[in-house]
Order: sequence, then structure tokens, then C-alpha cells
Amino acid sequence: MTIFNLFIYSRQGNCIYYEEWNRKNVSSNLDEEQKLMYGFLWQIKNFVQKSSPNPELEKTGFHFFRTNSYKLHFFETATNIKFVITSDPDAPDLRDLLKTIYKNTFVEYVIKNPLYTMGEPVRCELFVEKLQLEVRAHTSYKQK
Amino acid sequence: MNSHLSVAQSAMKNSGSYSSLEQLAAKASFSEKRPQKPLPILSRPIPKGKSEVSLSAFSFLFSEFIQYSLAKVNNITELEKRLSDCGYNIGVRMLELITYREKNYKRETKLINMLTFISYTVWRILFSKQADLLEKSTDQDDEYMISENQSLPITKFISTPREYSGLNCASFVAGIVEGILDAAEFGARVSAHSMPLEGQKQMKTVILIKFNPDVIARSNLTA
Amino acid sequence: MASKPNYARIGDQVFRDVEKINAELFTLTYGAIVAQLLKDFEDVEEVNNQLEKMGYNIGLRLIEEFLARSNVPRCSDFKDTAEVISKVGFKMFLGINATVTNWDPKKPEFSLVLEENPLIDFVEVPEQYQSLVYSNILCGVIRGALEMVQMSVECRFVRDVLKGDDASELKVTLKAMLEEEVPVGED
Repeated sequence: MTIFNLFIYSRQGNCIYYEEWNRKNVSSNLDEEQKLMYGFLWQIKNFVQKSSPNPELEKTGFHFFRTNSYKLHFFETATNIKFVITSDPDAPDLRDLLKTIYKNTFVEYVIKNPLYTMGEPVRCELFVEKLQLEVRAHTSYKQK
Repeated sequence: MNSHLSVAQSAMKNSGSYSSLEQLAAKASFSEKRPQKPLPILSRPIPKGKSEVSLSAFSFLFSEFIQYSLAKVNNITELEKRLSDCGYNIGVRMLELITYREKNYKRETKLINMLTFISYTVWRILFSKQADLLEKSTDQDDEYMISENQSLPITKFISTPREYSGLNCASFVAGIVEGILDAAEFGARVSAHSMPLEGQKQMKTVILIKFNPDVIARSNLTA
Repeated sequence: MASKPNYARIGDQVFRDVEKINAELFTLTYGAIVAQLLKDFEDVEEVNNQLEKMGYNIGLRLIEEFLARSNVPRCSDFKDTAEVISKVGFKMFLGINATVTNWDPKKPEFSLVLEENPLIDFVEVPEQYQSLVYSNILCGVIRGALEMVQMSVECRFVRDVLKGDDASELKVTLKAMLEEEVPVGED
């Protein structure tokens, strides 16, 4: 069981943070890949909402999808900040990990940092440090 | 022995813009009728000082003040000075409050007692813990250091990017200490520094206190 | 229909769990900031604006912490928003209780009444600064925070303890609901 990569998107749709572990194929164009990911998330959010069999219920959100080779988990805050993490297909639901990352690491070391401007790419050292600790400590992570 | 001025009297002496003995004319600005003038500040009781707010509330406020100041200054030194000045005003007032509450107006006269007062009592009130270490510098007679093995609770969220390297937001705390020392007649220059903890990657925060020559002279006389 | 969560209990619990700091350090720091602004700007009205702007910047960030820690579900309507702000928001950050009054569904708007306010302990506003809205930062915080959850509001003080009233009251009016930003290239 392992974790491959993490994307964080701002409200405006820019990828403000990207990290990868254990990734086999190196991306040829990371920028393109991040934009593609965002476009896909947008589309699937709309699709999931529109094709809900029970539209009277509360707003439905997309949680994850799973293929033979990986699983993609998604979490969006009420302020439209999006967290995406990919793992191997046997991993359990990692939305809780994303919520923990948001609460304990992102809010604490990015949002509260006066030297970080909202919407800009994240370069806070403390955030990167704590994020690494948090992900590596998770049961789904194993160095390949 | 000299006793401290009461908190309120001192507040009147020290503050510039936010306390006044004069009558507050309740001019109606946005309310139709003002039933009474606000109770003058000297008639209000001093609160017990046990109330708390979330650390986040303080952090956001502090963080915004830093951002506001960043826009008004040209370099790191100026920013640290602004933070220190802000802390200074707070320190002066804190000394009055804490002395009134904790020590029943008794004033410290010995240098080392004053330093213990700061690293133990003041730290406990501000940060809910005592300072990790208080030590005298080995090579300078007039320098003392208060150290925290990790960053202070109010600066632990701040990681300085490369363009601001050299900035230490603990200058705010240094300012508080300087204000306290100055108001207690132990004039000093106080600054904040980050140093790596011995043998570890972690940074510790050091508040460096350099006392004025007359303070050291006085201290040696009374020793 | 799911019953409304007990916001007061959520607020108390979150406040119990968060790290806290001496309220007086907070009060004195705010006072020092207001004093600094009065020094930087000659005009009191400009200081009021600056306080609101600073509050707005804080609100943009504060909402993230609020959402992460309180875990309240999405508000069903504006009245729900009012309850959440008063019972959870004010409690978890300032440790105080606020009351919602004067709910007007037509505008829509509501008032928040604060019996206590940690920002104003020890404070007296001298005569030459009578038009200073000392706690105006709170208006900005509410405006910034709500904007990040797609609500555009106007917030202002209508009663102020520092001016002689028995309690402080903020009026919050909903101007518009904002749409989520569509990425470039999508429909």
C-alpha cells in the first residue's frame, strides 16, 4: 500500500502545491498534468451533481474513483480549496487523511503564515516538513 | 519602599491615545439616543485576568499586523523595529498589570530577581509555561539570554521564505521584554535571535538582553 | 429532515479543545495596533477603513480554520449562518457568546449582539477620536469570512459599548450570493 502524489488547488483553480512519492513514471509536463487534473475535477463535480438520482438531498460531492492501478481521492472545502491524493488501489478511503492535512498542516502552517499570500504557490518550509511527517506516518504509506 | 503606581494611574501616564480622564461627551453618531455616557475607565473594576481567547485569534491578528507593517517598511530591520515598538507598549502595560495582580505592588530591585520574574512569571502568564532557560552570557558581563527550545507559541506558524531571511517575528516578544525592563528601571536593549539547538536541526529562539551600563553599575553596587 | 446540530455545544467543545492564550495579551496587542494606525493615518475615518480592511484579510484566512476545526455542515440558509457565526464562530475564537436578534428575512439581515468583547477591556476612547469605531476589525472579519463561502455581505456596528450603549451590536446584511469561479476554458 502506498501513496503516489498530492495536489492542492486554490479557489481560482491554480495548483498551489504538488508533491510526489514513489511515482514510477516521470511526468513530461507537470503543468499540463495539473491543469488537466483540475479540468477533470470540475467536470466530474458537475456530472455527479447533475446525474444524482435524488436531487432533493443535500449537494452531492465526488469522493474517489478507483482503477486497476490506482485510486484517486478528492476533498473540497467550503471555501473551494481542493485536495487530491492518489494511492494504490487497495488503500482505504483517504479522505480523512486529506481532512487531517487540511486541519493540522495546511491551516496551521500555510494559512496562518503571514509571509504567505493567499492563492500563491505554497513554499512554506514548515508546511512541507509537517506534511512529509504526516503522510509518511500514515498506514497507507510505504516506501517502494 | 517605593510602591508602584496604580494600574489606572500609570495607564493614564503612559498611553497616548486611548485613555482619558476627561468627560466623554456621548455624541450621537449612529444611535438615536444615548441613554448615558460610558462609565469612565477609572470607575471600572480591573478584571481578574483569567480569561482566555484562542491562540488562533491572536495568531491571525498578529499575522495581519505583520503583513500591514510589511507594506509600510523598506527592509527587515524596520519591520523588526515596528514589531519591537508594538511589543514595547504592551510590555509597559503588562508590567503594571502583573505587578498589581501577582506581587501586590512589590517592586523588584535586584537584577537577577527581575530576570527570574520575566522568565518565570511573565512567561507563565503570556505563554502558559516558564522559559526553558535563563542564562548569563559567558563572555559579556551585561548580557543575559532567555531561550526557548522551540519557537514561541505565537511564532510557530511562521516559516520565513528566502526573501525575508533574517526576519525574526519574535522581535515582538523582545519588545515586550524591553518594555517591561524599561518601566521597571532596568533599561536594556533586547533583541530576538534564532539559533540551531545544539546538535539538532531544530531552531531555538533566544531573547538577548543587553543591559545599559548604569544598570550593571547599580547592580554591582548593591550586590 | 435532519435536525439542526446543537451549535452552542459545538462552539463550547471546539473552544475547549483549541490552544488558548491570555486574553489580555490579545487585548493589549489590538490596542497597540489601533494606536499604531492612529499614528499612521491622520484621519479617523481612514483608520476605521483600515481596521475593516485588516479584518477582511483576517476573515479570508480565519474561515479555513473555522471550517477545519468546527466541522459544521453547510448552512441551509442565511439564518442558519447567523446562528453558526454567533454560537460557534465567536465562541471558538474569542470565547464569548453572541446573540442573534432582529432577523429580517426580506433584506435579509440579522444583528449580532455582544455582551462582552475582549478587544475593548481597559479601553476608553478619548474625545478627539469619538468617531472611531474601535472594534471595526470584527466587521471586516465577518465580511471576509463569508465572502469565501460565497456570500457577499455588508457588516457595520450600530451600537457600541465604548460610545455609551449597554451592548455592542453588529448588523449583517446579505447583498448577494456569489457563484463559484469557473476555470478558464470550461463552460
